[in-house]
Amino acid sequence: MFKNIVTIILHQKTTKISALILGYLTWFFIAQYQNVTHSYIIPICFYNDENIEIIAPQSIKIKIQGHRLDIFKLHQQDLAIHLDATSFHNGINEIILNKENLFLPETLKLINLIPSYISINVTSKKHE
Amino acid sequence: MLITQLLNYFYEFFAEQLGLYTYQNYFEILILSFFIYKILQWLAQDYTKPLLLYWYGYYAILTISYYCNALTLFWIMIIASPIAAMFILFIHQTKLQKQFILHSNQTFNIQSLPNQQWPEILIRALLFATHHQKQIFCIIERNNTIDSLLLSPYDLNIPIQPNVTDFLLSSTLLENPTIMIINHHGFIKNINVTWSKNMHDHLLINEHHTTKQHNQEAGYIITKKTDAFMFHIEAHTYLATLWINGTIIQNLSIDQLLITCNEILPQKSTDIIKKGIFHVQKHRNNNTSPENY
Repeated sequence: MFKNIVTIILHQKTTKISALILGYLTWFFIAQYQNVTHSYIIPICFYNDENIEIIAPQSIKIKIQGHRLDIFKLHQQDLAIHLDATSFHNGINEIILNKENLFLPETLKLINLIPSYISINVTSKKHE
Repeated sequence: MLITQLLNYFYEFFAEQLGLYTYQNYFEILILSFFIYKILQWLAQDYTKPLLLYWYGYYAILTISYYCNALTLFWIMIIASPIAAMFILFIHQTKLQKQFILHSNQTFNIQSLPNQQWPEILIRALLFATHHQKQIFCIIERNNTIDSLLLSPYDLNIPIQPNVTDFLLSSTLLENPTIMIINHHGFIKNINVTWSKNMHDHLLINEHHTTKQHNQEAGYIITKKTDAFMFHIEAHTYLATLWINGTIIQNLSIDQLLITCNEILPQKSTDIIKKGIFHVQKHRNNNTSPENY
Protein backbone atom coordinates (compact mmCIF):
# COMPACT_ATOMS: atom_id res chain seq x y z
CA MET A 1 0.00 0.00 0.00
CA PHE A 2 2.70 2.47 1.11
CA LYS A 3 4.90 1.37 -1.79
CA ASN A 4 2.04 2.06 -4.24
CA ILE A 5 1.52 5.53 -2.83
CA VAL A 6 5.24 6.25 -3.10
CA THR A 7 5.23 4.98 -6.69
CA ILE A 8 2.34 7.30 -7.56
CA ILE A 9 4.07 10.24 -5.85
CA LEU A 10 7.29 9.60 -7.73
CA HIS A 11 5.55 9.23 -11.10
CA GLN A 12 6.51 11.70 -13.84
CA LYS A 13 2.98 13.12 -14.25
CA THR A 14 2.54 13.53 -10.50
CA THR A 15 5.86 15.39 -10.41
CA LYS A 16 4.60 17.80 -13.07
CA ILE A 17 1.37 18.48 -11.20
CA SER A 18 3.10 18.80 -7.85
CA ALA A 19 5.68 21.18 -9.40
CA LEU A 20 2.79 23.43 -10.41
CA ILE A 21 1.26 23.25 -6.93
CA LEU A 22 4.61 23.86 -5.22
CA GLY A 23 5.30 26.70 -7.66
CA TYR A 24 2.02 28.33 -6.69
CA LEU A 25 2.63 27.79 -2.96
CA THR A 26 6.16 29.23 -3.16
CA TRP A 27 4.87 32.21 -5.09
CA PHE A 28 2.00 32.72 -2.67
CA PHE A 29 4.20 32.51 0.44
CA ILE A 30 6.56 35.11 -1.00
CA ALA A 31 3.99 37.36 -2.63
CA GLN A 32 1.45 37.52 0.21
CA TYR A 33 2.82 40.83 1.55
CA GLN A 34 3.17 42.44 -1.86
CA ASN A 35 1.06 45.54 -2.44
CA VAL A 36 -1.43 44.85 -5.17
CA THR A 37 -4.34 46.71 -6.70
CA HIS A 38 -7.55 45.01 -7.65
CA SER A 39 -10.85 46.22 -9.10
CA TYR A 40 -14.31 45.10 -8.08
CA ILE A 41 -17.77 45.88 -9.35
CA ILE A 42 -19.91 46.29 -6.27
CA PRO A 43 -23.61 47.05 -5.71
CA ILE A 44 -25.08 50.22 -4.17
CA CYS A 45 -27.26 49.51 -1.15
CA PHE A 46 -29.61 51.86 0.71
CA TYR A 47 -30.83 51.65 4.30
CA ASN A 48 -33.70 53.53 6.04
CA ASP A 49 -35.50 53.62 2.68
CA GLU A 50 -38.90 52.23 3.68
CA ASN A 51 -40.94 55.31 2.69
CA ILE A 52 -39.19 56.38 -0.46
CA GLU A 53 -38.62 55.12 -3.95
CA ILE A 54 -35.11 55.42 -5.27
CA ILE A 55 -33.90 55.33 -8.83
CA ALA A 56 -30.14 54.96 -8.82
CA PRO A 57 -27.29 53.12 -10.58
CA GLN A 58 -27.10 49.43 -9.67
CA SER A 59 -23.36 49.18 -9.19
CA ILE A 60 -20.06 51.02 -9.34
CA LYS A 61 -16.46 50.02 -9.94
CA ILE A 62 -13.92 50.39 -7.16
CA LYS A 63 -10.16 49.95 -7.08
CA ILE A 64 -8.55 48.76 -3.83
CA GLN A 65 -4.90 48.56 -2.84
CA GLY A 66 -3.37 46.49 -0.06
CA HIS A 67 -1.37 43.42 0.81
CA ARG A 68 -2.23 40.51 -1.46
CA LEU A 69 -3.20 38.46 1.57
CA ASP A 70 -5.68 41.10 2.78
CA ILE A 71 -7.21 41.46 -0.65
CA PHE A 72 -7.34 37.67 -0.98
CA LYS A 73 -9.26 37.43 2.30
CA LEU A 74 -11.72 40.07 1.16
CA HIS A 75 -14.75 38.58 -0.57
CA GLN A 76 -16.53 40.48 -3.30
CA GLN A 77 -19.91 39.45 -1.87
CA ASP A 78 -19.10 41.37 1.32
CA LEU A 79 -18.44 44.60 -0.52
CA ALA A 80 -21.13 47.24 -1.21
CA ILE A 81 -21.62 51.01 -1.11
CA HIS A 82 -23.94 51.69 1.83
CA LEU A 83 -26.00 54.91 1.70
CA ASP A 84 -28.32 56.25 4.39
CA ALA A 85 -31.58 57.25 2.74
CA THR A 86 -32.72 59.58 5.60
CA SER A 87 -30.50 62.38 4.31
CA PHE A 88 -32.11 62.29 0.86
CA HIS A 89 -34.68 64.85 -0.25
CA ASN A 90 -37.28 64.42 -2.95
CA GLY A 91 -35.97 64.88 -6.45
CA ILE A 92 -32.44 64.56 -7.78
CA ASN A 93 -29.70 64.03 -5.15
CA GLU A 94 -26.02 64.33 -6.12
CA ILE A 95 -24.01 62.12 -3.80
CA ILE A 96 -20.23 62.02 -3.54
CA LEU A 97 -19.05 58.52 -2.65
CA ASN A 98 -16.11 57.93 -0.33
CA LYS A 99 -14.36 55.30 1.79
CA GLU A 100 -16.87 55.67 4.66
CA ASN A 101 -19.65 54.33 2.41
CA LEU A 102 -17.68 51.18 1.78
CA PHE A 103 -16.87 49.87 5.32
CA LEU A 104 -13.48 48.77 4.09
CA PRO A 105 -10.99 47.10 6.51
CA GLU A 106 -8.30 49.51 7.71
CA THR A 107 -5.51 47.51 6.10
CA LEU A 108 -6.92 48.25 2.66
CA LYS A 109 -6.80 51.53 0.80
CA LEU A 110 -9.46 52.78 -1.59
CA ILE A 111 -7.72 54.08 -4.71
CA ASN A 112 -10.57 54.90 -7.00
CA LEU A 113 -14.35 54.94 -7.40
CA ILE A 114 -15.87 54.99 -10.85
CA PRO A 115 -18.07 57.03 -10.86
CA SER A 116 -17.04 58.96 -7.75
CA TYR A 117 -20.44 60.62 -7.50
CA ILE A 118 -23.90 59.43 -8.44
CA SER A 119 -27.26 61.04 -9.13
CA ILE A 120 -30.22 59.56 -7.29
CA ASN A 121 -33.83 60.31 -8.05
CA VAL A 122 -35.92 60.08 -4.86
CA THR A 123 -39.72 60.09 -4.68
CA SER A 124 -41.99 59.53 -1.70
CA LYS A 125 -44.08 56.36 -1.70
CA LYS A 126 -47.84 56.92 -2.03
CA HIS A 127 -49.70 55.38 0.94
CA GLU A 128 -52.72 53.29 -0.13
CA MET B 1 -17.44 36.81 -27.43
CA LEU B 2 -17.88 33.45 -25.71
CA ILE B 3 -14.11 33.08 -25.34
CA THR B 4 -13.83 36.54 -23.78
CA GLN B 5 -16.62 35.68 -21.36
CA LEU B 6 -14.95 32.40 -20.52
CA LEU B 7 -11.58 34.09 -20.00
CA ASN B 8 -13.20 36.70 -17.77
CA TYR B 9 -14.89 33.99 -15.79
CA PHE B 10 -11.60 32.16 -15.26
CA TYR B 11 -9.83 35.41 -14.43
CA GLU B 12 -12.42 36.21 -11.77
CA PHE B 13 -12.38 32.64 -10.47
CA PHE B 14 -8.60 32.51 -10.06
CA ALA B 15 -8.51 36.03 -8.60
CA GLU B 16 -11.10 35.04 -6.01
CA GLN B 17 -9.80 31.55 -5.22
CA LEU B 18 -6.04 31.83 -5.71
CA GLY B 19 -5.23 35.54 -5.40
CA LEU B 20 -3.99 35.83 -9.00
CA TYR B 21 -4.84 39.36 -10.04
CA THR B 22 -2.60 40.04 -13.02
CA TYR B 23 -1.23 38.08 -15.94
CA GLN B 24 2.27 38.61 -14.57
CA ASN B 25 1.28 36.42 -11.60
CA TYR B 26 0.57 33.50 -13.93
CA PHE B 27 3.90 34.04 -15.65
CA GLU B 28 5.76 34.10 -12.34
CA ILE B 29 4.11 30.88 -11.19
CA LEU B 30 4.89 29.11 -14.46
CA ILE B 31 8.56 30.10 -14.27
CA LEU B 32 8.79 29.02 -10.61
CA SER B 33 7.02 25.75 -11.38
CA PHE B 34 9.45 25.06 -14.21
CA PHE B 35 12.45 25.48 -11.93
CA ILE B 36 10.82 23.42 -9.19
CA TYR B 37 10.03 20.70 -11.73
CA LYS B 38 13.68 20.59 -12.78
CA ILE B 39 14.76 20.34 -9.12
CA LEU B 40 12.22 17.56 -8.49
CA GLN B 41 13.45 15.67 -11.54
CA TRP B 42 17.03 16.02 -10.33
CA LEU B 43 16.13 14.81 -6.85
CA ALA B 44 14.17 11.87 -8.25
CA GLN B 45 17.34 10.59 -9.91
CA ASP B 46 18.79 9.64 -6.54
CA TYR B 47 17.87 6.00 -6.08
CA THR B 48 19.68 5.71 -2.78
CA LYS B 49 17.61 8.19 -0.76
CA PRO B 50 13.98 9.33 -1.03
CA LEU B 51 14.96 13.00 -1.44
CA LEU B 52 11.77 13.80 -3.34
CA LEU B 53 9.70 12.66 -0.37
CA TYR B 54 11.81 14.84 1.96
CA TRP B 55 11.13 17.81 -0.33
CA TYR B 56 7.39 17.13 -0.37
CA GLY B 57 7.46 16.67 3.40
CA TYR B 58 9.14 20.05 3.87
CA TYR B 59 6.50 21.76 1.74
CA ALA B 60 3.72 19.89 3.51
CA ILE B 61 4.91 21.12 6.93
CA LEU B 62 5.30 24.63 5.52
CA THR B 63 1.78 24.67 4.09
CA ILE B 64 0.16 23.08 7.15
CA SER B 65 1.92 25.52 9.49
CA TYR B 66 0.72 28.41 7.35
CA TYR B 67 -2.91 27.32 7.28
CA CYS B 68 -2.87 26.39 10.99
CA ASN B 69 -1.52 29.86 11.79
CA ALA B 70 1.62 28.34 13.32
CA LEU B 71 3.49 31.37 12.06
CA THR B 72 6.65 30.88 14.13
CA LEU B 73 7.18 27.46 12.61
CA PHE B 74 6.24 28.82 9.19
CA TRP B 75 8.78 31.66 9.29
CA ILE B 76 11.49 29.43 10.79
CA MET B 77 10.97 27.04 7.88
CA ILE B 78 10.99 29.86 5.32
CA ILE B 79 14.21 31.30 6.77
CA ALA B 80 15.75 27.84 7.10
CA SER B 81 14.93 26.86 3.51
CA PRO B 82 18.43 27.75 2.15
CA ILE B 83 19.92 25.58 4.92
CA ALA B 84 17.51 22.77 3.95
CA ALA B 85 18.56 23.18 0.31
CA MET B 86 22.21 22.91 1.30
CA PHE B 87 21.38 19.85 3.37
CA ILE B 88 19.68 18.20 0.38
CA LEU B 89 22.75 19.01 -1.75
CA PHE B 90 24.89 17.43 0.94
CA ILE B 91 22.78 14.25 1.02
CA HIS B 92 22.65 14.23 -2.76
CA GLN B 93 26.42 14.58 -3.17
CA THR B 94 27.03 10.87 -3.79
CA LYS B 95 24.65 11.05 -6.70
CA LEU B 96 26.32 14.20 -7.99
CA GLN B 97 29.69 12.50 -7.76
CA LYS B 98 28.33 9.51 -9.62
CA GLN B 99 27.35 11.72 -12.54
CA PHE B 100 30.64 13.62 -12.57
CA ILE B 101 32.73 10.46 -12.39
CA LEU B 102 30.80 8.75 -15.16
CA HIS B 103 31.00 11.74 -17.48
CA SER B 104 34.72 12.19 -16.96
CA ASN B 105 35.47 8.52 -17.64
CA GLN B 106 33.66 8.19 -20.94
CA THR B 107 36.48 8.48 -23.46
CA PHE B 108 36.62 5.76 -26.06
CA ASN B 109 38.26 5.39 -29.38
CA ILE B 110 36.69 3.47 -32.20
CA GLN B 111 39.19 0.60 -32.09
CA SER B 112 38.54 -0.16 -28.44
CA LEU B 113 34.75 -0.27 -28.71
CA PRO B 114 33.18 -3.64 -28.04
CA ASN B 115 31.30 -5.62 -30.62
CA GLN B 116 27.80 -4.47 -31.42
CA GLN B 117 26.46 -7.86 -30.34
CA TRP B 118 28.22 -7.83 -26.99
CA PRO B 119 25.11 -8.94 -24.99
CA GLU B 120 24.90 -12.05 -27.16
CA ILE B 121 28.62 -12.75 -26.76
CA LEU B 122 28.42 -12.23 -23.02
CA ILE B 123 25.42 -14.51 -22.55
CA ARG B 124 27.02 -17.18 -24.71
CA ALA B 125 30.17 -17.02 -22.59
CA LEU B 126 28.09 -17.12 -19.41
CA LEU B 127 26.25 -20.20 -20.65
CA PHE B 128 29.56 -21.82 -21.37
CA ALA B 129 30.75 -21.01 -17.84
CA THR B 130 27.45 -22.15 -16.33
CA HIS B 131 27.82 -25.44 -18.14
CA HIS B 132 31.08 -25.85 -16.20
CA GLN B 133 29.19 -25.31 -12.94
CA LYS B 134 30.32 -21.71 -12.43
CA GLN B 135 27.82 -19.39 -10.83
CA ILE B 136 28.30 -15.94 -12.23
CA PHE B 137 26.29 -12.91 -11.15
CA CYS B 138 26.54 -10.34 -13.88
CA ILE B 139 25.86 -6.69 -13.00
CA ILE B 140 25.31 -4.27 -15.86
CA GLU B 141 26.09 -0.74 -14.82
CA ARG B 142 24.11 1.96 -16.58
CA ASN B 143 24.05 5.69 -15.76
CA ASN B 144 24.78 5.41 -12.02
CA THR B 145 28.20 4.22 -11.02
CA ILE B 146 28.11 1.38 -8.52
CA ASP B 147 31.75 1.60 -7.49
CA SER B 148 30.91 2.70 -3.96
CA LEU B 149 28.83 -0.45 -3.41
CA LEU B 150 31.43 -2.95 -4.56
CA LEU B 151 35.06 -3.79 -3.93
CA SER B 152 37.03 -4.97 -6.87
CA PRO B 153 40.47 -6.56 -6.63
CA TYR B 154 41.51 -5.17 -10.03
CA ASP B 155 40.15 -3.08 -12.90
CA LEU B 156 39.90 -4.70 -16.29
CA ASN B 157 38.02 -2.37 -18.68
CA ILE B 158 38.16 -4.92 -21.48
CA PRO B 159 35.67 -4.68 -24.34
CA ILE B 160 33.60 -7.84 -24.63
CA GLN B 161 34.98 -10.03 -27.39
CA PRO B 162 34.21 -13.73 -27.98
CA ASN B 163 37.56 -15.31 -27.16
CA VAL B 164 38.61 -12.93 -24.42
CA THR B 165 35.38 -13.38 -22.48
CA ASP B 166 35.58 -17.17 -22.73
CA PHE B 167 39.21 -17.04 -21.63
CA LEU B 168 38.34 -14.87 -18.62
CA LEU B 169 35.42 -17.01 -17.52
CA SER B 170 37.33 -20.25 -17.86
CA SER B 171 40.18 -19.02 -15.70
CA THR B 172 40.93 -21.05 -12.58
CA LEU B 173 41.35 -17.79 -10.69
CA LEU B 174 37.66 -17.11 -11.12
CA GLU B 175 35.87 -17.48 -7.79
CA ASN B 176 32.70 -19.52 -7.59
CA PRO B 177 30.20 -17.88 -7.20
CA THR B 178 31.59 -14.68 -8.64
CA ILE B 179 30.33 -11.22 -9.41
CA MET B 180 31.20 -9.52 -12.65
CA ILE B 181 30.60 -5.86 -13.52
CA ILE B 182 29.99 -4.76 -17.08
CA ASN B 183 29.12 -1.23 -18.13
CA HIS B 184 26.39 -0.48 -20.62
CA HIS B 185 28.93 0.18 -23.37
CA GLY B 186 30.00 -3.46 -23.24
CA PHE B 187 33.22 -3.25 -21.22
CA ILE B 188 34.04 -5.80 -18.55
CA LYS B 189 35.00 -3.51 -15.71
CA ASN B 190 35.71 -5.90 -12.86
CA ILE B 191 35.57 -9.55 -11.99
CA ASN B 192 35.73 -11.43 -8.66
CA VAL B 193 34.04 -8.45 -7.08
CA THR B 194 32.83 -8.41 -3.45
CA TRP B 195 30.23 -6.24 -1.79
CA SER B 196 31.56 -3.18 0.00
CA LYS B 197 30.87 -2.12 3.59
CA ASN B 198 28.30 0.34 2.24
CA MET B 199 26.36 -2.59 0.87
CA HIS B 200 26.76 -4.75 3.99
CA ASP B 201 25.06 -2.02 6.02
CA HIS B 202 21.89 -2.70 3.99
CA LEU B 203 22.08 -6.48 4.05
CA LEU B 204 20.27 -8.67 6.52
CA ILE B 205 22.39 -11.75 5.89
CA ASN B 206 25.60 -11.83 7.85
CA GLU B 207 26.99 -14.92 6.20
CA HIS B 208 30.10 -15.06 4.13
CA HIS B 209 29.80 -12.60 1.29
CA THR B 210 30.29 -15.08 -1.53
CA THR B 211 27.22 -17.20 -0.92
CA LYS B 212 24.57 -17.35 -3.59
CA GLN B 213 21.82 -16.20 -1.24
CA HIS B 214 23.95 -13.24 -0.20
CA ASN B 215 24.44 -12.22 -3.82
CA GLN B 216 20.73 -12.54 -4.51
CA GLU B 217 19.83 -10.24 -1.65
CA ALA B 218 22.55 -7.78 -2.63
CA GLY B 219 21.29 -7.90 -6.22
CA TYR B 220 17.87 -6.81 -5.04
CA ILE B 221 19.35 -3.89 -3.09
CA ILE B 222 21.79 -2.71 -5.75
CA THR B 223 19.10 -2.67 -8.44
CA LYS B 224 16.71 -0.87 -6.13
CA LYS B 225 19.21 1.82 -5.20
CA THR B 226 20.80 2.36 -8.61
CA ASP B 227 19.71 1.95 -12.22
CA ALA B 228 22.00 -1.06 -12.66
CA PHE B 229 20.53 -4.49 -13.38
CA MET B 230 21.83 -7.93 -12.56
CA PHE B 231 21.26 -11.42 -13.89
CA HIS B 232 22.32 -14.93 -13.10
CA ILE B 233 21.91 -18.17 -15.03
CA GLU B 234 21.05 -21.30 -13.06
CA ALA B 235 23.39 -24.18 -13.76
CA HIS B 236 20.74 -26.93 -13.54
CA THR B 237 17.87 -25.36 -15.41
CA TYR B 238 19.62 -22.89 -17.70
CA LEU B 239 16.98 -20.38 -16.74
CA ALA B 240 17.95 -16.86 -15.80
CA THR B 241 16.97 -14.63 -12.91
CA LEU B 242 16.94 -10.91 -13.55
CA TRP B 243 17.05 -8.17 -10.92
CA ILE B 244 15.94 -4.78 -12.14
CA ASN B 245 14.62 -1.71 -10.26
CA GLY B 246 14.36 -3.79 -7.11
CA THR B 247 12.21 -6.38 -8.88
CA ILE B 248 13.17 -10.01 -9.34
CA ILE B 249 12.12 -11.75 -12.55
CA GLN B 250 12.68 -15.46 -12.31
CA ASN B 251 12.76 -18.35 -14.76
CA LEU B 252 13.54 -16.32 -17.85
CA SER B 253 14.66 -18.30 -20.84
CA ILE B 254 17.97 -17.29 -22.37
CA ASP B 255 16.15 -15.80 -25.32
CA GLN B 256 13.92 -13.75 -23.04
CA LEU B 257 16.96 -12.60 -21.08
CA LEU B 258 18.68 -11.48 -24.25
CA ILE B 259 15.61 -9.62 -25.49
CA THR B 260 15.18 -7.95 -22.10
CA CYS B 261 18.84 -6.93 -21.98
CA ASN B 262 18.62 -5.42 -25.45
CA GLU B 263 15.48 -3.51 -24.46
CA ILE B 264 17.03 -2.12 -21.28
CA LEU B 265 20.39 -1.20 -22.76
CA PRO B 266 20.68 2.05 -24.76
CA GLN B 267 20.48 1.92 -28.53
CA LYS B 268 23.79 0.92 -29.97
CA SER B 269 25.58 3.44 -32.14
CA THR B 270 24.96 2.93 -35.82
CA ASP B 271 28.16 4.48 -37.06
CA ILE B 272 30.24 1.46 -36.18
CA ILE B 273 30.50 -0.80 -39.19
CA LYS B 274 29.05 -4.23 -38.64
CA LYS B 275 31.63 -6.95 -39.14
CA GLY B 276 29.25 -9.75 -40.00
CA ILE B 277 26.51 -11.74 -38.37
CA PHE B 278 27.47 -13.65 -35.30
CA HIS B 279 26.83 -17.30 -34.91
CA VAL B 280 24.61 -16.71 -31.88
CA GLN B 281 22.53 -14.13 -33.68
CA LYS B 282 22.23 -16.30 -36.76
CA HIS B 283 20.82 -19.18 -34.73
CA ARG B 284 18.76 -17.17 -32.28
CA ASN B 285 15.58 -17.32 -34.30
CA ASN B 286 15.86 -21.02 -34.96
CA ASN B 287 16.88 -22.38 -31.57
CA THR B 288 16.00 -20.80 -28.28
CA SER B 289 17.04 -23.54 -25.88
CA PRO B 290 20.21 -22.73 -23.91
CA GLU B 291 21.97 -25.92 -24.97
CA ASN B 292 22.18 -24.65 -28.53
CA TYR B 293 24.22 -21.57 -27.65
